[in-house]
Amino acid sequence: MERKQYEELSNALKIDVKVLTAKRIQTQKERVLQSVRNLPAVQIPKKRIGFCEFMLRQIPFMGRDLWMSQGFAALMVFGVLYLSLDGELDYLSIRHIPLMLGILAIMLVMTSIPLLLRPYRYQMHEIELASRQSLWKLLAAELILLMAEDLVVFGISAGIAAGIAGLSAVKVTMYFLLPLLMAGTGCAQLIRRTSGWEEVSQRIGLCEGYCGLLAAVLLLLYRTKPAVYDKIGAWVICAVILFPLFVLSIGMWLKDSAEVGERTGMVDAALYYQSE
Amino acid sequence: MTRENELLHQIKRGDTSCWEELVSLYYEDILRYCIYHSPDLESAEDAVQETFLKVIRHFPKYQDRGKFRGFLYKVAANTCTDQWRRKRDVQLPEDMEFMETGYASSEAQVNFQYMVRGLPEELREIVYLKFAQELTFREIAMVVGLPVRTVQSRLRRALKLIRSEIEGEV
Repeated sequence: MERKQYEELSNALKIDVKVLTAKRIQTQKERVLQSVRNLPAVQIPKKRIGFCEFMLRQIPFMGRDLWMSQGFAALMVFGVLYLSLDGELDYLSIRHIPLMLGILAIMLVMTSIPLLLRPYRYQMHEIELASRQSLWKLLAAELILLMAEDLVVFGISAGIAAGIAGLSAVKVTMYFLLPLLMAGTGCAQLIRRTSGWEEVSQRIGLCEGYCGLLAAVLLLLYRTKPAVYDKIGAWVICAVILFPLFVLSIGMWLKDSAEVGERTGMVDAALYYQSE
Repeated sequence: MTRENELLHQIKRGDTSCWEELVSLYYEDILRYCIYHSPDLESAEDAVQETFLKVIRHFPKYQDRGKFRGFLYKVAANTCTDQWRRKRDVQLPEDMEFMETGYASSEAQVNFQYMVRGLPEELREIVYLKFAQELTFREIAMVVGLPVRTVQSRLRRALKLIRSEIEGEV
């Protein structure tokens, strides 16, 4: 065969794909490239982020709404007391401060519950958006941020209360801490024990109801046995007993959340943050 | 270093974004190959996609010794073979062999197409890979799974058959 014939043979066998309409080729090529991009092996390299960075990324999701509602709750407590005392804040004393701080602590827990249960309702949406970490890390991050916020609110309230009524720091701390521990421990246990409930709103309702009940008990104590507030030793003992229970309850809740994450495959899928 | 080697090198270093360029580089060649080896255009397009996905998935097992093109065509060949097997289950017409690929511009080219199609299967594929896809003997050997010397002798035999047919026509 001659060289020319080889060329003819080569041309005869070469299909000119451009004859197949450029648009079709382009569309199909794009389809192939898209499926290539979707392959896990071709995903853009991912970068692990630390827990602290993850926690900071949660701040936008915690939302101004929550912090504004908690700030509003604190203002309301002061406002109600101010009005009930006809502006006579000098009259604000031991009799009012414990109730005010206790209600404030319970309200802080009440406003935090919907936020803490939100990942269960929206199927980890904020984790996907923020950084794709596991559920227990999200809860831990939110708890830390909430506690930091509670501390600030407590600091301001306690400062004002102590300044006005001249109470000791221990007393002010106990009047705030004990209701907070009781509300927190109870809610953590309720959330754990209602993990099978499909309706998140019912779980929120149950926790809010429990907090409401605690507030009613505080109010009842304030009305019927105000002397209880003088026995600060008993408050300290109760707080000492409750604190480990609180830590244990939170720990168990986080542990349960980690198991939920593993069951649904969220942990494996979400350990990385897509850098771009 | 060729662009292909450069891209492969970068992929091995973890820059998987290079896959897109590598796929684009070979897309039309593989489409051409799959059109020739598929019952219809849709099947060919599916085969192209499957080929590239398989190549990427199996790339970690691929040992780079300058044979990437051979590896790619080998995967395409296997994909097309699998596709024919699957199509056989849905009862294709008996006389259907390959889809009509005739975009030939001259009578001589049409004749060549018929001559190549008339070759025995083991010769036809080698002629096709050599003349349509311009693969080296080493690459063809990899695709068809034969020693290089066997590929060379089969190509010689195929060309001899074509030549004798041309002479017979004349």
